[in-house]
Amino acid sequence: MSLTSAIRTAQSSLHTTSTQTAITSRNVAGASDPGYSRKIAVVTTGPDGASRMLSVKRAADKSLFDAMIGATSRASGQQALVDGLNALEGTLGDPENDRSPAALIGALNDALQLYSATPGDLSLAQGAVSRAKDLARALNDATGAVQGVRQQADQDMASSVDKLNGLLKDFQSVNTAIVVGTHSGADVTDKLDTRDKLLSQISEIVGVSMVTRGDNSAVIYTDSGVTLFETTARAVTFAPSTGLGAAQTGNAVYIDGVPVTGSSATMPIRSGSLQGLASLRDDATVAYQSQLDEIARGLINTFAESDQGVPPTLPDAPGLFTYAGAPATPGGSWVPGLAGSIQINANVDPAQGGSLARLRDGGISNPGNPAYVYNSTGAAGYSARLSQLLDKVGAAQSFDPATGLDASASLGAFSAASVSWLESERKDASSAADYSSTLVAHASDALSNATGVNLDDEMSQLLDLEKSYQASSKLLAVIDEMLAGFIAGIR
Amino acid sequence: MKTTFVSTQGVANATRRSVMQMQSELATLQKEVSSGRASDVGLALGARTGLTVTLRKESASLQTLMDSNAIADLRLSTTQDTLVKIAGDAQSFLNVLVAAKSDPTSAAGTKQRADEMLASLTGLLNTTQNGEHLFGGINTGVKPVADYSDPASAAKQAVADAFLAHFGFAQGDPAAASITAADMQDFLDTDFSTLFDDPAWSTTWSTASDQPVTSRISTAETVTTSVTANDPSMRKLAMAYTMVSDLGLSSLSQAAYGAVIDKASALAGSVIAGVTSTQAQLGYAQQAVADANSRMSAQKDVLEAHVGSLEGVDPYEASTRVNNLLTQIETSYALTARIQKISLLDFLS
Amino acid sequence: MSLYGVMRTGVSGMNAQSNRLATVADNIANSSTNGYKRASTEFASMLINTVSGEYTSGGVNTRVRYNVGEQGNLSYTSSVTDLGIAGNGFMIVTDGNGTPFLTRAGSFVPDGNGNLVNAAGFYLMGYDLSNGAPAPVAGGINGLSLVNLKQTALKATPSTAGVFSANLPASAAIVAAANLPSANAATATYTAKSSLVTYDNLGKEVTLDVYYTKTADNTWEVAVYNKADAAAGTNSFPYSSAALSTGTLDFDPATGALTPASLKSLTLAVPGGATLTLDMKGMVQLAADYKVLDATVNGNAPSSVDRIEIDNDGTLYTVYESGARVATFKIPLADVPSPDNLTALPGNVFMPSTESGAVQVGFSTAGGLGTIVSGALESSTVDLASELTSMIESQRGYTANSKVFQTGSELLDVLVNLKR
Repeated sequence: MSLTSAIRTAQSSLHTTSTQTAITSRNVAGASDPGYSRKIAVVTTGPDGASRMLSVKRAADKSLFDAMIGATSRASGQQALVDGLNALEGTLGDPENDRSPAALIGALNDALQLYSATPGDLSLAQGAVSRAKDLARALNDATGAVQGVRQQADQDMASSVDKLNGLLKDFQSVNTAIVVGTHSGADVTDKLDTRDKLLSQISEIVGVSMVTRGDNSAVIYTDSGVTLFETTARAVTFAPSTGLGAAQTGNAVYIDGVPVTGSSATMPIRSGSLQGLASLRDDATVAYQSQLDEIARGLINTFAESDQGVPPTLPDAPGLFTYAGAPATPGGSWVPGLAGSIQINANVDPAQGGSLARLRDGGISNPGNPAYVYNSTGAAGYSARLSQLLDKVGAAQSFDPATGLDASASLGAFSAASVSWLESERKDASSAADYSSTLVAHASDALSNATGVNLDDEMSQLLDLEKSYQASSKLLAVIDEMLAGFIAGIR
Repeated sequence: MKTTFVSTQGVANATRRSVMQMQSELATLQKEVSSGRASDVGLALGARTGLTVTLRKESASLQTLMDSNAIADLRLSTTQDTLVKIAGDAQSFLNVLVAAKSDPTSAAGTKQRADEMLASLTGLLNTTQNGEHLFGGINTGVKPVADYSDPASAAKQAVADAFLAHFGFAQGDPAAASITAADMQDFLDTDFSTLFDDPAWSTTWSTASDQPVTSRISTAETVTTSVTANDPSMRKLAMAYTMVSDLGLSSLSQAAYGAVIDKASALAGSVIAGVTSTQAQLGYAQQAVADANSRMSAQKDVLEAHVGSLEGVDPYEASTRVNNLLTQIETSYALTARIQKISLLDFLS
Repeated sequence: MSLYGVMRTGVSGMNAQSNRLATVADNIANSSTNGYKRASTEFASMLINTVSGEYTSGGVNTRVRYNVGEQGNLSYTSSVTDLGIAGNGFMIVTDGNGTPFLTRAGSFVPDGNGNLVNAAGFYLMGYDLSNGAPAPVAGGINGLSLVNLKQTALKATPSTAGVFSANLPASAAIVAAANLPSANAATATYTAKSSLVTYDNLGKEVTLDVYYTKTADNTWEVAVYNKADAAAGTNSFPYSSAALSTGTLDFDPATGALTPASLKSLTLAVPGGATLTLDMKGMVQLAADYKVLDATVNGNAPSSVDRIEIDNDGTLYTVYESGARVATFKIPLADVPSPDNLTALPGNVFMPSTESGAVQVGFSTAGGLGTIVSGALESSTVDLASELTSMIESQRGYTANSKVFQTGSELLDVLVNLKR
């Protein structure tokens, strides 16, 4: 040990302290960046007693990070579903406004009731036809809204896939840089932060799990195990549909050649916005559309006219409500997209040259064929047909069980059940989304607390560093003084 | 020593998030307090939203039924009034007939009264309300009975034809004095009476439908709410008026005259009884409507109360929560400001 | 006894002190020279045979020693090719003529030809690992060549080994034989799929599709296809060429691990590349979702040198831009039995001498040799304070010797004046 080695040691201490100060200042700069993790200088003592900063570590907590990205995936999936269901709920409105198909069926029923009390009063018939028109338009609008939501979901899936591919490309370049840096012992902590940030962005789109290999390179798998990234990014492909019809199913998303959404998915993903959008597009909207279609089919069949001859020989034909397939009735099972094409028969609509009295008398389906006329005498007070219609509206009929609702119910009960179904889906999705966004908040708080920067802590560390720097410089000054004393002693 | 680490951002986020959450809750509560209903009914009720929609629908249906019952009720009371008048006419005609029987010389006067009565009956049977002919049965669009005094009246022509066919001469012919009471009795019971039975009645006298108007007064009940002009009482009354009015009373023999008056008296008497029973039936219908209305009104109140309890929120509870939230938010503001103010930097020189 | 003898002894003392001052001057001049070893002077007395009652002064003999074995402080730098040694040993360097020398001055930088040269112009020598593993010859420096960074410009390594372990879902549905991926039919169905990037001989990426399909309870088929052969469209099947390899994994229902008799690794020829052995002994079958636990394959794509790196054991790695690192040189350390007796030559290099003993070549961290520290330089072992002390000492010694000489001279004067 000598004065010279004391100088060298003091010098190395100055160097280490200044590097540590640089790291503290990096931490202070990153304090408000949610993706920044606290950097820690690893200082070791060299063989000769000098301190030496070997590397920079970062505060990381894999399990908290995994919890955070898992929660993010679930939250964004559920949020996508909630957003879509909220858009669908627009077809119902507040129950107070009576805009739902169920309420409009009630309104039509009431208008018919009022008309049946005074069958000679055509202004009441006009009221009933107007209500029927409202109902048909509401079903058409609802179909438009449902298909709009589906189309939007399809487009969102396409843009999510584009974004995912872009993120994976960025991920690849960061990952390569990390591997190179790890091999050469460079400081890769900032790149690790960037990679984690990219991964959390990816987790918003699709649920993922990350495995880190020996050289710090990462492999990403979806929550169903499909390879998303391994040395290179795997292709994520999706063909968006232009104009998604009610009867048409959307395309699946493929990751690494494996279908991950839709009914044909081999390894279906379970979270992330892609999953939420796919479930919205392929399940929720399709089920709701089938319910609307069944309401439309029920209406057409309820208001269909039958042959009044004895015995009847002609088939039933659509009456007040008709559709593109007239004069045949829509039969006994689901006709996809029917709610979009249901309309008022022109023969009963004065605006289209029809006659209101046909609502009371029959013959809407084919005014030229007397077989479908119920009121053969044309009596103005004839209410039997209206009563029959009222009875039929109130009577139970069979619906396609594919709708997920009661297969046998009255039109009113079925349409009310449809309201209940949608609201219940929305409530479930909404509370699940609330729950998972709370989880995300908690998980990111926990992660931030584990890996984030505390300014006060950094400041107190800075005080320590300042003291040690001062001590080292004091040491240098003292040694210098000692040598100077020596040199002065030589005459 | 292990200490719990808290990041600066964790501290900042915790206060920020709680303020944000409370503010959004406050917005919801304010809406609930002012409207008295859940801010998003669908979200609050979930699967029970269908129930509130159904309840609202049922409530609206009941209201509609009550509205339509008002129409039926109006029709019933107008019909009642008309029937009272018809019965009154019949009673006073009976009185006239009783007087006329003992005094054949008053034949012209009696005929005169019969003419008036017939016109009055025609008028009453053609009563309209809101464009509907009350006695037209379901054929409410057409005037049920034509004016008998009109020379073109098919009914009048049919009477003349029947008289000519039976006796070989027209009414008022001098030869009518030779008609015996038995002959007249026979004519009135057969050929003349046939004119007031179907099918002659429907072709000459009435265009009304046999089918009375029925109304659905509640979801399950249907009642008859009109009397048609084809009611047997109306036919008998028309027959009584017609025989006195148009068989040439003054040219008849004493005996034949007596036979006509007797027959007319008997008919008028039975009409009074018939109309009374019809009135009773209408009265039952009116009672049924009133009962249905009060029942439905009660039902509607229950439904609305149920809707209210489903969709509504307790305004007191909501406003208490608003107050609590406000206090919490203020505390939170104060805390945030203080936490943000603390920093080690202030103590470093 | 002789006065002349006294004067000669004084001169000898002055000579010795000036020698000492010279080494102090050298030491102070080289107090910042990396790898410099402090020179010291040792004195030996020279006595002339004396008879009793009579003393004849002798003299002092000077010997300059280099304290080669003293460890200098390591000062850290930012250049990886700056090499310091913590402990015994020397780096082997050579001058332009090919003569080998030993040195501890390790501030190497590549010259125009890519050879590592230090500040004094000596080239670093090492074993070229492309010629196979090094076999150091005791006492000899045969097989050493100049360490050159340029010869490793672009390089690709084909994949030869890999590890794949995953959990296969025990409750998955069984796939009919006709629909197995190995049948390569359009109707193929599978339970799980992963893909791995491997490299062919030219370093081209070859992505392998690995399919796992449950064929019966506890029995799984694994089939590997080349992704480039996949059919266009939604399903990748049928591939345009047959599976690269297929195998059957048998699991023990009691533990979920592979049975002892089961396939443990899959050998397949990477198209255009080497034979790849995929180690699968870590596969398990439990009632959980498909989850890859480890998937690693060696090999790298052609890429240029990003930087070099030198390990503690003296291995020089070339790090490519792809992140792969390849050992290209091994830098040996040499030692002699008596380092302090090495012959010092200009440029902080030493030559073995008969006193020092023969050179023994070994490797860093082994056989009593020190550790090569990359990014550090060994500072001069000179301590200014002790040099200054020596300087004062020799100054006083010189003065004292001159006084002896002066006294002898005065005594001679007295003797000469006696004659008058």
